[in-house]
Amino acid sequence: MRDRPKIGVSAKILIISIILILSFFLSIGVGPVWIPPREIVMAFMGRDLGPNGRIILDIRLPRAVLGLVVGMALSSSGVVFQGMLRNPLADPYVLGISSGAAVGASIAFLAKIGFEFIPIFAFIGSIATVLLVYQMALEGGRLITERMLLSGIIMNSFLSALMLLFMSISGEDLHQIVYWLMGDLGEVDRKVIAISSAYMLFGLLAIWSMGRDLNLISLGEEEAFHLGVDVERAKRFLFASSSLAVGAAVSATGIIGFIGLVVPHMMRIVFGADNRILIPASAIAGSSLLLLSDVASRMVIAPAELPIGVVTAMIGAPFFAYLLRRSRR
Amino acid sequence: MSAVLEAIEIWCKYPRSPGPVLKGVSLRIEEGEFVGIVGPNGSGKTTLLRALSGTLKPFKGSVLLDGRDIYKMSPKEIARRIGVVSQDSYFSFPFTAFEVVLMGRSPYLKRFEWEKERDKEMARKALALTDALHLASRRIDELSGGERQRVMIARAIAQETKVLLLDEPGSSLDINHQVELYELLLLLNEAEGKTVVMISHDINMASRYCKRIIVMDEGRVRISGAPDEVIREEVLEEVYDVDLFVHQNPVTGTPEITVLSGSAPGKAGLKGKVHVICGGGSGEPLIRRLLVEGYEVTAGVLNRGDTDHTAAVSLGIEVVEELPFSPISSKSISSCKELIRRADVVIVSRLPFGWGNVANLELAREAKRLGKDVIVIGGIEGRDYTSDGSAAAIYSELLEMGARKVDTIHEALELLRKGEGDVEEA
Repeated sequence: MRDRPKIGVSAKILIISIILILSFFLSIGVGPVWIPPREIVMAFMGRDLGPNGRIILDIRLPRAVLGLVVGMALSSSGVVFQGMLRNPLADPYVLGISSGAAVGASIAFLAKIGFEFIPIFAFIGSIATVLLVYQMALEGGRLITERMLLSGIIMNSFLSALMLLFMSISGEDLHQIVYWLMGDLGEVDRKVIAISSAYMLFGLLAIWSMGRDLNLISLGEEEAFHLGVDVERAKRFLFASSSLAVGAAVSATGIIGFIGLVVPHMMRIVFGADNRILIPASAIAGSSLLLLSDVASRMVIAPAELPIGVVTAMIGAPFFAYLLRRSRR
Repeated sequence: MSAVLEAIEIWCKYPRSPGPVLKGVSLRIEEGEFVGIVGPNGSGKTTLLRALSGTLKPFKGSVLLDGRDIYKMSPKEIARRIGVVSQDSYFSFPFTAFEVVLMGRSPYLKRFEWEKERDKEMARKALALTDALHLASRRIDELSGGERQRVMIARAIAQETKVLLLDEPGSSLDINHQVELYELLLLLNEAEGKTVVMISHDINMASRYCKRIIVMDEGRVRISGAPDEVIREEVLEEVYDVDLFVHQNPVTGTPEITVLSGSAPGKAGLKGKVHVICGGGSGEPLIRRLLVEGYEVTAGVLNRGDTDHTAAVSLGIEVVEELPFSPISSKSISSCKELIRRADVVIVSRLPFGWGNVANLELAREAKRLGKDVIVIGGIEGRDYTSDGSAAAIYSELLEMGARKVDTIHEALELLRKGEGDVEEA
């Protein structure tokens, strides 16, 4: 019997963790000035390296940390949404979180409130949307999964239309907001990084603690109940914690697509469906993929940068097409 | 004895259902019982099971588990007492069968606790019991319906509950696994004292294994009792609206049903009475079709031991019979005339005629003389074994007199349907 041995799982986790560490160093090392890993380690240990030290600690480290945390948040909530909605095509944005954030950001942008307020407005927009979707999916005190999905789709299209309406009326130059929408890890305020990372890490841990409940819910809610899960409470908890993580991620970096959709699938192929392993594995792999995409986005048209969402979509879409073909068999 | 599960006057409905699906159901299930729930589609069986399992809260009445209101217990408390096998489980994710069975242990685990070796041992044992150990490492979404069913039952066993609720556990299993499953449930019931409650579409299987059968009809418990108290024609015919008869299974000795036709006997015969002259197996399909369409059917004269005689007897219709291999006696002829007189139509099937049964053809002629509608199926060519062509002679006489000839059973039925009006006038 091929009862997947624990050592195999640990070995695989070790491998993706090593890849993550390498991606992290690469992400700090690559740029107009190449910084070798040895210097990065020395900077971390508090050695004064002059200008390179400044570049590492002030410019590249915050960006790498943000990429690390956002990658974790997006892919682990991708796992949650796919499992909770029992739909392998779900992604972190399926419930309208991204459109809500986009509308919030557009308002801040068009009202000229100041660029530094965009994350706050985006966060408010995403959370307000999620609460609306939640209300729409409620029936007799129960969260109806199918309605959640439909409400999300409706909110997504409504908010996208609303955003286009804002833009056409204002007649502003849209370059900046379009770039924001495509996702950007650079030029994020240190305070925003710290606060959003705290939210994301909290969400991630909350999600991880629900791994077994998510396993059972992904088989059907009545089945989960028969195995002792307080389904309504579990769903509400998962919904809240993953929305918080995604809302924080989108507010800090804009909409980075495909990571939350593709990484859970990749990890399911490697680790199987057990969410207690799948969540941390996806978090680790999602971080690496995001950091590597960020490196690519800085290198392709250097010294200019591509929006990172462009890179993840360029990698993710073909990969997803491959997955679809494979699953058709 | 104490009730482990009890429903007190429960009324249930679904948010969008027009009326209540359960209308005041009360029942007690004692510890160690093996109960089968039967009843037609839409009679509320699954709803009852859902109410009993704590999934669908009745809007009136209460469900007690171990004497406590189940709707005030936590899901975990319920899951440690009741294991449920639902009708169909749908999987979107590639869990292995072993992982699925291991989930049966989760009511006993704390939030951050992983399954121990003991839990895995129990999962393996449960898989072995349902003959599914070889499926352990297969992906659950790639198993066949029957294989998946066995995995789901293994999960309920691994859950180690004292009550098992099953919704048609045998429905997607082939017959050997079906019998194995029921034997396993019986074993769990008798050896481990588990209380088993299952919905079954197969009344004969339920009758064979369950110690008590509950018949549901239109959201109510129609009757509840031991199989021989419940499996009775007058009960089931009305509930299922079919014509059936109950006999004793010669091997198991338990009551068993055979369904005869799709409408209850009260309605049968409404369309008219048909007498069938047949023999040698030529009449059986015709008689069946006539019964299904709702005619009252009689047959004869038939020799005992003839295929058609056996069929007619087992279908429960009135037959005029003759001793095996004997020519038709005058006594049989007169009793058959009586049946013909009562009939609206006489149909002669495609049977061979010899000296022994040519009297049957004469009976058909007699029917025509009495003014009955007579339909003959097929020509006489190759069926006349009387040495001097008497059968052929009577046959042409029949057609002469206005008997209608058709080629198939289907055509005969068509004719019958068209002629219905005429028949009633006559």
